[in-house]
Amino acid sequence: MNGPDRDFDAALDRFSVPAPRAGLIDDIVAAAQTRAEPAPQAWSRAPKDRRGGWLRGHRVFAATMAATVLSATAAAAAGGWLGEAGSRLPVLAQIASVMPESVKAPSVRIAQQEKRALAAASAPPVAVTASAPPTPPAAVPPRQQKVVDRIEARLERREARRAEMGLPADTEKERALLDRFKVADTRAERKEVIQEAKALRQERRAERQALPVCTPDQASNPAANGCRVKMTPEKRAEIMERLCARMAENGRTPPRCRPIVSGGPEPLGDPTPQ
Amino acid sequence: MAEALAQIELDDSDDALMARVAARDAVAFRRIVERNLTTVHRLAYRMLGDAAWAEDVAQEALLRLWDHAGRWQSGGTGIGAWLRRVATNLCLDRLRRQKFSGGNEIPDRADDAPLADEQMEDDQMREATRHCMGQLPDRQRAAIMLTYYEDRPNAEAAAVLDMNIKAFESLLVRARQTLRRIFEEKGLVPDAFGKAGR
Repeated sequence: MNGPDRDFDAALDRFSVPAPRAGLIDDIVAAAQTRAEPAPQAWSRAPKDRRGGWLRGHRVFAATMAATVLSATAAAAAGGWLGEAGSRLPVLAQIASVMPESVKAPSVRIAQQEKRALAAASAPPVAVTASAPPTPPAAVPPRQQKVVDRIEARLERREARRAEMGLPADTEKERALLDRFKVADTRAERKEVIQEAKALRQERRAERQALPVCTPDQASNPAANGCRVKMTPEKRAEIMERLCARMAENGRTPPRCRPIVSGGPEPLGDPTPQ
Repeated sequence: MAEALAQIELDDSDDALMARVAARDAVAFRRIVERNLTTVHRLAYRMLGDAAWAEDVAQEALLRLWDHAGRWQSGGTGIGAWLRRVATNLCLDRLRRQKFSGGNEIPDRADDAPLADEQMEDDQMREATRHCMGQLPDRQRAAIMLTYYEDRPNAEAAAVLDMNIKAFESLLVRARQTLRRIFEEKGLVPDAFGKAGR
Protein backbone atom coordinates (compact mmCIF):
# COMPACT_ATOMS: atom_id res chain seq x y z
CA MET A 1 0.00 0.00 0.00
CA ASN A 2 3.04 2.28 0.23
CA GLY A 3 4.19 4.28 -2.72
CA PRO A 4 2.24 5.16 -5.82
CA ASP A 5 -0.36 2.66 -6.92
CA ARG A 6 -1.11 3.63 -10.51
CA ASP A 7 -3.79 0.99 -11.08
CA PHE A 8 -5.61 2.04 -7.95
CA ASP A 9 -5.40 5.72 -8.88
CA ALA A 10 -6.56 4.98 -12.41
CA ALA A 11 -9.55 3.08 -11.08
CA LEU A 12 -10.43 6.00 -8.78
CA ASP A 13 -10.15 8.44 -11.67
CA ARG A 14 -12.97 6.65 -13.46
CA PHE A 15 -15.50 7.95 -10.92
CA SER A 16 -16.39 11.06 -12.88
CA VAL A 17 -19.12 13.45 -11.80
CA PRO A 18 -21.91 14.91 -13.96
CA ALA A 19 -22.16 18.70 -14.10
CA PRO A 20 -24.77 20.28 -11.83
CA ARG A 21 -28.15 21.23 -13.32
CA ALA A 22 -28.12 24.40 -15.42
CA GLY A 23 -30.53 26.50 -13.37
CA LEU A 24 -29.26 25.41 -9.98
CA ILE A 25 -27.32 28.62 -9.29
CA ASP A 26 -30.40 30.76 -9.94
CA ASP A 27 -32.52 28.50 -7.75
CA ILE A 28 -30.09 28.72 -4.84
CA VAL A 29 -29.80 32.52 -5.03
CA ALA A 30 -33.59 32.85 -5.26
CA ALA A 31 -34.07 30.48 -2.31
CA ALA A 32 -31.59 32.49 -0.23
CA GLN A 33 -33.38 35.76 -0.93
CA THR A 34 -36.76 34.37 0.04
CA ARG A 35 -35.39 32.56 3.08
CA ALA A 36 -36.54 33.71 6.49
CA GLU A 37 -33.96 35.06 8.88
CA PRO A 38 -32.19 32.21 10.69
CA ALA A 39 -33.08 31.42 14.26
CA PRO A 40 -30.60 32.71 16.84
CA GLN A 41 -27.96 30.14 17.72
CA ALA A 42 -28.69 28.06 20.78
CA TRP A 43 -26.66 28.98 23.83
CA SER A 44 -23.46 27.06 24.11
CA ARG A 45 -20.45 27.37 26.35
CA ALA A 46 -17.72 29.44 24.83
CA PRO A 47 -14.38 27.62 24.37
CA LYS A 48 -12.72 29.87 26.93
CA ASP A 49 -15.22 28.65 29.54
CA ARG A 50 -14.34 25.03 28.93
CA ARG A 51 -11.94 24.88 31.79
CA GLY A 52 -11.41 22.04 34.16
CA GLY A 53 -12.82 21.30 37.53
CA TRP A 54 -10.97 24.14 39.29
CA LEU A 55 -13.37 26.83 38.16
CA ARG A 56 -16.41 24.76 39.05
CA GLY A 57 -14.80 23.84 42.37
CA HIS A 58 -14.23 27.49 43.21
CA ARG A 59 -17.78 28.38 42.34
CA VAL A 60 -19.19 25.58 44.46
CA PHE A 61 -16.91 26.58 47.35
CA ALA A 62 -17.92 30.24 47.12
CA ALA A 63 -21.62 29.34 46.96
CA THR A 64 -21.30 27.02 49.97
CA MET A 65 -19.48 29.66 51.98
CA ALA A 66 -22.09 32.29 51.11
CA ALA A 67 -24.92 29.96 52.15
CA THR A 68 -23.11 29.15 55.41
CA VAL A 69 -22.62 32.81 56.29
CA LEU A 70 -26.24 33.63 55.49
CA SER A 71 -27.63 30.79 57.56
CA ALA A 72 -25.29 31.55 60.46
CA THR A 73 -26.33 35.20 60.37
CA ALA A 74 -29.98 34.24 60.32
CA ALA A 75 -29.56 31.84 63.23
CA ALA A 76 -27.61 34.36 65.26
CA ALA A 77 -30.12 37.15 64.63
CA ALA A 78 -33.18 35.00 65.33
CA GLY A 79 -32.27 34.16 68.87
CA GLY A 80 -28.64 33.38 69.15
CA TRP A 81 -25.91 35.48 70.64
CA LEU A 82 -26.88 38.61 68.75
CA GLY A 83 -30.51 38.21 69.76
CA GLU A 84 -29.53 37.94 73.42
CA ALA A 85 -27.39 41.03 73.04
CA GLY A 86 -30.46 42.95 71.85
CA SER A 87 -29.19 43.80 68.41
CA ARG A 88 -31.26 43.24 65.26
CA LEU A 89 -29.55 42.22 62.05
CA PRO A 90 -31.43 42.17 58.78
CA VAL A 91 -31.62 38.53 57.74
CA LEU A 92 -32.38 37.27 54.28
CA ALA A 93 -36.14 36.83 54.76
CA GLN A 94 -36.49 40.38 56.13
CA ILE A 95 -34.41 41.81 53.29
CA ALA A 96 -36.51 39.95 50.77
CA SER A 97 -39.77 41.10 52.35
CA VAL A 98 -38.96 44.77 51.96
CA MET A 99 -37.68 44.52 48.42
CA PRO A 100 -40.13 45.70 45.77
CA GLU A 101 -41.42 43.07 43.41
CA SER A 102 -39.40 43.08 40.23
CA VAL A 103 -41.29 43.93 37.10
CA LYS A 104 -40.66 41.23 34.54
CA ALA A 105 -39.15 42.69 31.39
CA PRO A 106 -40.70 41.48 28.16
CA SER A 107 -38.78 38.48 26.86
CA VAL A 108 -36.57 39.24 23.88
CA ARG A 109 -36.82 35.62 22.79
CA ILE A 110 -40.62 35.66 22.74
CA ALA A 111 -40.59 38.94 20.85
CA GLN A 112 -38.21 37.47 18.29
CA GLN A 113 -40.36 34.35 17.94
CA GLU A 114 -43.43 36.50 17.31
CA LYS A 115 -41.48 38.56 14.79
CA ARG A 116 -40.34 35.42 12.98
CA ALA A 117 -43.86 34.00 12.95
CA LEU A 118 -45.16 37.23 11.43
CA ALA A 119 -42.36 37.23 8.85
CA ALA A 120 -43.02 33.61 7.98
CA ALA A 121 -46.73 34.29 7.59
CA SER A 122 -46.12 37.21 5.25
CA ALA A 123 -43.18 35.73 3.29
CA PRO A 124 -43.88 34.27 -0.16
CA PRO A 125 -43.35 30.51 -0.55
CA VAL A 126 -39.76 29.38 -1.08
CA ALA A 127 -39.03 28.85 -4.76
CA VAL A 128 -36.90 25.75 -4.40
CA THR A 129 -38.47 22.98 -2.39
CA ALA A 130 -35.59 20.61 -1.98
CA SER A 131 -35.85 18.27 0.97
CA ALA A 132 -33.69 19.77 3.69
CA PRO A 133 -31.24 17.45 5.38
CA PRO A 134 -31.34 17.42 9.17
CA THR A 135 -29.27 19.79 11.23
CA PRO A 136 -25.85 18.35 11.98
CA PRO A 137 -25.39 17.42 15.60
CA ALA A 138 -24.18 20.12 18.00
CA ALA A 139 -20.52 20.19 18.90
CA VAL A 140 -19.70 17.47 21.40
CA PRO A 141 -17.66 18.51 24.46
CA PRO A 142 -14.01 17.40 24.26
CA ARG A 143 -14.30 14.77 27.00
CA GLN A 144 -17.25 13.10 25.28
CA GLN A 145 -15.62 13.52 21.88
CA LYS A 146 -12.93 10.99 22.78
CA VAL A 147 -15.58 8.46 23.71
CA VAL A 148 -17.53 9.21 20.53
CA ASP A 149 -14.38 8.85 18.37
CA ARG A 150 -13.55 5.52 19.98
CA ILE A 151 -17.04 4.14 19.50
CA GLU A 152 -17.22 5.38 15.91
CA ALA A 153 -13.89 3.75 15.09
CA ARG A 154 -15.15 0.50 16.58
CA LEU A 155 -18.39 0.64 14.61
CA GLU A 156 -16.48 1.38 11.41
CA ARG A 157 -14.22 -1.60 12.00
CA ARG A 158 -17.27 -3.77 12.52
CA GLU A 159 -18.97 -2.44 9.38
CA ALA A 160 -15.79 -2.93 7.35
CA ARG A 161 -15.41 -6.50 8.61
CA ARG A 162 -18.97 -7.30 7.65
CA ALA A 163 -18.58 -5.55 4.29
CA GLU A 164 -15.54 -7.70 3.58
CA MET A 165 -17.67 -10.77 4.21
CA GLY A 166 -20.41 -9.39 1.96
CA LEU A 167 -22.80 -8.86 4.85
CA PRO A 168 -24.91 -5.72 5.43
CA ALA A 169 -24.03 -3.43 8.32
CA ASP A 170 -25.93 -4.22 11.50
CA THR A 171 -24.94 -1.19 13.54
CA GLU A 172 -28.08 0.93 13.11
CA LYS A 173 -29.08 0.56 16.76
CA GLU A 174 -25.59 1.46 17.99
CA ARG A 175 -25.40 4.44 15.66
CA ALA A 176 -28.80 5.65 16.81
CA LEU A 177 -27.62 5.46 20.43
CA LEU A 178 -24.40 7.24 19.52
CA ASP A 179 -26.35 10.05 17.87
CA ARG A 180 -28.41 10.44 21.03
CA PHE A 181 -25.25 10.44 23.13
CA LYS A 182 -23.77 13.22 21.00
CA VAL A 183 -26.72 15.54 21.56
CA ALA A 184 -27.32 14.62 25.20
CA ASP A 185 -26.96 17.80 27.26
CA THR A 186 -27.36 16.52 30.77
CA ARG A 187 -25.59 13.86 32.74
CA ALA A 188 -28.90 12.07 33.29
CA GLU A 189 -29.54 11.84 29.55
CA ARG A 190 -26.04 10.51 28.92
CA LYS A 191 -26.46 7.99 31.72
CA GLU A 192 -29.73 6.80 30.20
CA VAL A 193 -28.08 6.30 26.80
CA ILE A 194 -25.19 4.43 28.41
CA GLN A 195 -27.64 2.12 30.21
CA GLU A 196 -29.38 1.39 26.93
CA ALA A 197 -26.05 0.74 25.23
CA LYS A 198 -25.11 -1.71 27.98
CA ALA A 199 -28.43 -3.48 27.59
CA LEU A 200 -27.91 -3.66 23.83
CA ARG A 201 -24.45 -5.09 24.35
CA GLN A 202 -25.84 -7.77 26.68
CA GLU A 203 -28.52 -8.52 24.11
CA ARG A 204 -25.92 -8.93 21.35
CA ARG A 205 -23.79 -11.14 23.58
CA ALA A 206 -26.80 -13.33 24.42
CA GLU A 207 -27.62 -13.61 20.71
CA ARG A 208 -24.05 -14.70 20.01
CA GLN A 209 -24.07 -17.23 22.82
CA ALA A 210 -27.30 -18.72 21.49
CA LEU A 211 -25.63 -19.53 18.14
CA PRO A 212 -24.33 -23.07 17.56
CA VAL A 213 -20.57 -23.63 17.63
CA CYS A 214 -18.99 -23.52 14.15
CA THR A 215 -17.78 -26.67 12.48
CA PRO A 216 -14.19 -26.43 11.13
CA ASP A 217 -15.60 -25.70 7.65
CA GLN A 218 -17.71 -22.84 8.93
CA ALA A 219 -15.06 -21.31 11.17
CA SER A 220 -13.53 -19.16 8.43
CA ASN A 221 -16.66 -17.00 8.22
CA PRO A 222 -18.78 -17.33 11.36
CA ALA A 223 -21.00 -14.30 10.67
CA ALA A 224 -22.02 -15.52 7.24
CA ASN A 225 -22.58 -19.07 8.49
CA GLY A 226 -24.60 -18.02 11.53
CA CYS A 227 -22.38 -19.75 14.07
CA ARG A 228 -19.85 -18.79 16.71
CA VAL A 229 -16.24 -19.79 17.08
CA LYS A 230 -15.28 -21.21 20.43
CA MET A 231 -12.25 -19.30 21.55
CA THR A 232 -9.22 -21.27 22.63
CA PRO A 233 -7.02 -20.04 25.51
CA GLU A 234 -4.22 -19.44 23.00
CA LYS A 235 -6.48 -17.31 20.84
CA ARG A 236 -7.65 -15.36 23.89
CA ALA A 237 -4.05 -14.77 24.96
CA GLU A 238 -3.19 -13.60 21.46
CA ILE A 239 -6.07 -11.13 21.41
CA MET A 240 -5.14 -9.83 24.86
CA GLU A 241 -1.56 -9.37 23.77
CA ARG A 242 -2.63 -7.38 20.72
CA LEU A 243 -5.05 -5.31 22.80
CA CYS A 244 -2.43 -4.56 25.44
CA ALA A 245 0.09 -3.55 22.77
CA ARG A 246 -2.42 -1.14 21.28
CA MET A 247 -3.26 0.34 24.69
CA ALA A 248 0.42 0.66 25.52
CA GLU A 249 0.85 2.74 22.34
CA ASN A 250 -1.66 5.15 23.85
CA GLY A 251 0.25 5.20 27.13
CA ARG A 252 -2.25 3.06 29.04
CA THR A 253 -1.53 -0.10 30.97
CA PRO A 254 -4.66 -1.54 32.59
CA PRO A 255 -4.08 -4.06 35.41
CA ARG A 256 -4.71 -7.11 33.22
CA CYS A 257 -1.93 -5.95 30.89
CA ARG A 258 0.70 -5.50 33.60
CA PRO A 259 3.37 -8.18 33.70
CA ILE A 260 3.17 -10.64 36.56
CA VAL A 261 6.10 -9.84 38.84
CA SER A 262 7.95 -12.97 39.79
CA GLY A 263 10.02 -13.23 42.95
CA GLY A 264 8.94 -11.05 45.86
CA PRO A 265 10.01 -11.39 49.48
CA GLU A 266 12.01 -14.42 50.45
CA PRO A 267 9.90 -17.13 52.05
CA LEU A 268 10.40 -17.47 55.75
CA GLY A 269 12.65 -20.35 56.61
CA ASP A 270 12.93 -22.24 59.78
CA PRO A 271 13.90 -20.07 62.69
CA THR A 272 17.60 -20.14 63.15
CA PRO A 273 18.43 -21.73 66.49
CA GLN A 274 20.06 -19.26 68.72
CA MET B 1 -16.91 57.43 -0.23
CA ALA B 2 -18.16 56.20 -3.58
CA GLU B 3 -14.64 55.09 -4.43
CA ALA B 4 -14.41 53.15 -1.19
CA LEU B 5 -17.70 51.40 -1.92
CA ALA B 6 -16.54 50.57 -5.43
CA GLN B 7 -13.32 49.18 -3.97
CA ILE B 8 -15.29 46.95 -1.60
CA GLU B 9 -17.38 45.70 -4.52
CA LEU B 10 -14.26 44.88 -6.51
CA ASP B 11 -12.68 42.99 -3.61
CA ASP B 12 -13.34 39.32 -4.32
CA SER B 13 -11.69 37.88 -1.23
CA ASP B 14 -13.73 35.48 0.87
CA ASP B 15 -13.95 37.87 3.81
CA ALA B 16 -15.06 40.79 1.65
CA LEU B 17 -17.70 38.69 -0.06
CA MET B 18 -18.97 37.36 3.25
CA ALA B 19 -19.19 40.89 4.64
CA ARG B 20 -21.39 41.77 1.70
CA VAL B 21 -23.48 38.62 2.09
CA ALA B 22 -23.98 39.50 5.76
CA ALA B 23 -25.49 42.73 4.48
CA ARG B 24 -27.74 40.57 2.27
CA ASP B 25 -26.04 41.38 -1.01
CA ALA B 26 -27.40 38.85 -3.51
CA VAL B 27 -24.74 39.68 -6.09
CA ALA B 28 -21.97 38.71 -3.71
CA PHE B 29 -23.82 35.54 -2.76
CA ARG B 30 -24.25 34.65 -6.42
CA ARG B 31 -20.51 35.06 -6.91
CA ILE B 32 -19.84 32.68 -4.01
CA VAL B 33 -22.33 30.17 -5.40
CA GLU B 34 -20.78 30.34 -8.87
CA ARG B 35 -17.34 29.85 -7.44
CA ASN B 36 -18.14 26.97 -5.08
CA LEU B 37 -21.16 25.12 -6.43
CA THR B 38 -19.17 22.74 -8.60
CA THR B 39 -16.91 21.72 -5.72
CA VAL B 40 -19.73 21.17 -3.26
CA HIS B 41 -21.85 19.31 -5.81
CA ARG B 42 -18.91 17.10 -6.84
CA LEU B 43 -18.13 16.28 -3.22
CA ALA B 44 -21.76 15.46 -2.43
CA TYR B 45 -22.17 13.35 -5.56
CA ARG B 46 -19.15 11.22 -4.72
CA MET B 47 -20.36 10.81 -1.16
CA LEU B 48 -23.98 9.99 -2.02
CA GLY B 49 -23.80 8.54 -5.53
CA ASP B 50 -26.96 10.35 -6.62
CA ALA B 51 -27.21 13.59 -8.60
CA ALA B 52 -30.51 14.76 -7.08
CA TRP B 53 -29.32 14.20 -3.51
CA ALA B 54 -26.07 15.93 -4.35
CA GLU B 55 -28.02 18.98 -5.52
CA ASP B 56 -30.05 18.98 -2.31
CA VAL B 57 -26.92 18.90 -0.19
CA ALA B 58 -25.13 21.56 -2.26
CA GLN B 59 -28.12 23.85 -1.97
CA GLU B 60 -28.49 23.30 1.76
CA ALA B 61 -24.79 23.92 2.42
CA LEU B 62 -24.82 27.18 0.44
CA LEU B 63 -28.02 28.36 2.11
CA ARG B 64 -26.43 27.72 5.49
CA LEU B 65 -23.59 29.95 4.40
CA TRP B 66 -26.16 32.64 3.67
CA ASP B 67 -27.74 32.10 7.10
CA HIS B 68 -24.41 32.16 8.95
CA ALA B 69 -22.94 35.12 7.10
CA GLY B 70 -23.55 37.43 10.06
CA ARG B 71 -21.38 35.24 12.28
CA TRP B 72 -18.56 34.83 9.77
CA GLN B 73 -15.12 35.39 11.29
CA SER B 74 -12.56 36.85 8.94
CA GLY B 75 -9.11 35.31 8.67
CA GLY B 76 -10.42 31.75 9.03
CA THR B 77 -9.99 28.78 6.75
CA GLY B 78 -12.08 30.30 3.97
CA ILE B 79 -15.42 29.67 2.36
CA GLY B 80 -14.31 26.56 0.47
CA ALA B 81 -13.15 24.76 3.60
CA TRP B 82 -16.28 25.80 5.49
CA LEU B 83 -18.52 24.50 2.72
CA ARG B 84 -16.61 21.23 2.43
CA ARG B 85 -17.04 20.65 6.14
CA VAL B 86 -20.75 21.42 6.17
CA ALA B 87 -21.45 19.45 2.99
CA THR B 88 -19.53 16.40 4.22
CA ASN B 89 -21.48 16.39 7.48
CA LEU B 90 -24.77 16.84 5.65
CA CYS B 91 -23.86 13.85 3.47
CA LEU B 92 -22.95 11.72 6.49
CA ASP B 93 -26.24 12.67 8.15
CA ARG B 94 -28.15 11.69 5.04
CA LEU B 95 -26.25 8.42 4.67
CA ARG B 96 -27.34 7.41 8.15
CA ARG B 97 -30.91 7.37 6.87
CA GLN B 98 -30.43 6.45 3.23
CA LYS B 99 -27.79 4.18 1.80
CA PHE B 100 -25.38 5.21 -0.91
CA SER B 101 -27.07 5.13 -4.31
CA GLY B 102 -24.68 2.85 -6.13
CA GLY B 103 -26.83 1.91 -9.12
CA ASN B 104 -28.62 -1.36 -9.70
CA GLU B 105 -27.23 -2.76 -12.90
CA ILE B 106 -23.66 -3.35 -11.88
CA PRO B 107 -22.12 -6.65 -12.98
CA ASP B 108 -20.28 -8.65 -10.35
CA ARG B 109 -17.15 -8.47 -12.45
CA ALA B 110 -16.41 -6.11 -15.29
CA ASP B 111 -17.39 -7.79 -18.53
CA ASP B 112 -14.38 -9.37 -20.27
CA ALA B 113 -16.03 -9.51 -23.69
CA PRO B 114 -14.82 -6.83 -26.13
CA LEU B 115 -17.34 -4.02 -26.53
CA ALA B 116 -18.17 -2.40 -29.81
CA ASP B 117 -18.49 1.04 -28.41
CA GLU B 118 -15.69 2.46 -26.33
CA GLN B 119 -18.07 4.90 -24.70
CA MET B 120 -20.16 2.05 -23.38
CA GLU B 121 -17.09 0.54 -21.84
CA ASP B 122 -16.18 3.81 -20.18
CA ASP B 123 -19.70 4.12 -18.79
CA GLN B 124 -19.58 0.59 -17.52
CA MET B 125 -16.25 1.15 -15.81
CA ARG B 126 -17.45 4.39 -14.25
CA GLU B 127 -20.55 2.68 -12.90
CA ALA B 128 -18.46 -0.20 -11.59
CA THR B 129 -16.14 2.24 -9.80
CA ARG B 130 -19.12 4.11 -8.35
CA HIS B 131 -20.54 0.83 -7.14
CA CYS B 132 -17.23 -0.05 -5.46
CA MET B 133 -17.10 3.33 -3.73
CA GLY B 134 -20.59 2.70 -2.46
CA GLN B 135 -19.43 -0.44 -0.68
CA LEU B 136 -17.03 1.51 1.52
CA PRO B 137 -18.23 2.54 4.99
CA ASP B 138 -19.36 6.18 4.86
CA ARG B 139 -16.49 7.74 6.78
CA GLN B 140 -13.91 5.76 4.84
CA ARG B 141 -15.49 7.04 1.63
CA ALA B 142 -15.34 10.57 3.03
CA ALA B 143 -11.63 10.11 3.78
CA ILE B 144 -10.90 8.97 0.20
CA MET B 145 -13.08 11.68 -1.25
CA LEU B 146 -11.41 14.50 0.71
CA THR B 147 -7.80 13.43 0.23
CA TYR B 148 -7.84 11.89 -3.22
CA TYR B 149 -10.58 13.65 -5.15
CA GLU B 150 -10.53 17.00 -3.36
CA ASP B 151 -6.77 16.91 -2.77
CA ARG B 152 -7.09 18.25 0.77
CA PRO B 153 -4.21 17.87 3.23
CA ASN B 154 -4.74 15.25 5.93
CA ALA B 155 -4.98 17.89 8.65
CA GLU B 156 -7.87 19.65 6.94
CA ALA B 157 -9.63 16.40 6.09
CA ALA B 158 -9.27 15.30 9.73
CA ALA B 159 -10.80 18.59 10.87
CA VAL B 160 -13.72 18.11 8.48
CA LEU B 161 -14.45 14.73 10.04
CA ASP B 162 -13.83 15.96 13.60
CA MET B 163 -10.96 13.55 14.12
CA ASN B 164 -7.42 13.92 15.28
CA ILE B 165 -4.78 13.52 12.61
CA LYS B 166 -3.56 10.09 13.73
CA ALA B 167 -7.04 8.63 13.81
CA PHE B 168 -7.69 10.11 10.38
CA GLU B 169 -4.52 8.65 8.90
CA SER B 170 -5.48 5.26 10.26
CA LEU B 171 -8.96 5.64 8.75
CA LEU B 172 -7.43 6.58 5.39
CA VAL B 173 -5.14 3.54 5.37
CA ARG B 174 -8.08 1.27 6.14
CA ALA B 175 -10.13 2.97 3.44
CA ARG B 176 -7.46 2.46 0.78
CA GLN B 177 -6.96 -1.18 1.79
CA THR B 178 -10.68 -1.90 1.74
CA LEU B 179 -11.23 -0.13 -1.56
CA ARG B 180 -8.29 -1.85 -3.21
CA ARG B 181 -9.64 -5.22 -2.14
CA ILE B 182 -13.06 -4.35 -3.57
CA PHE B 183 -11.46 -3.18 -6.84
CA GLU B 184 -9.52 -6.45 -7.02
CA GLU B 185 -12.66 -8.48 -6.45
CA LYS B 186 -14.42 -6.63 -9.27
CA GLY B 187 -11.43 -7.01 -11.55
CA LEU B 188 -10.85 -3.26 -11.81
CA VAL B 189 -7.21 -3.49 -10.74
CA PRO B 190 -4.72 -6.38 -10.87
CA ASP B 191 -4.60 -8.28 -7.62
CA ALA B 192 -1.57 -8.59 -5.35
CA PHE B 193 -0.20 -11.45 -7.49
CA GLY B 194 -0.35 -9.41 -10.67
CA LYS B 195 -3.38 -11.21 -12.05
CA ALA B 196 -4.71 -8.86 -14.70
CA GLY B 197 -7.87 -6.96 -14.08
CA ARG B 198 -9.43 -4.68 -16.57
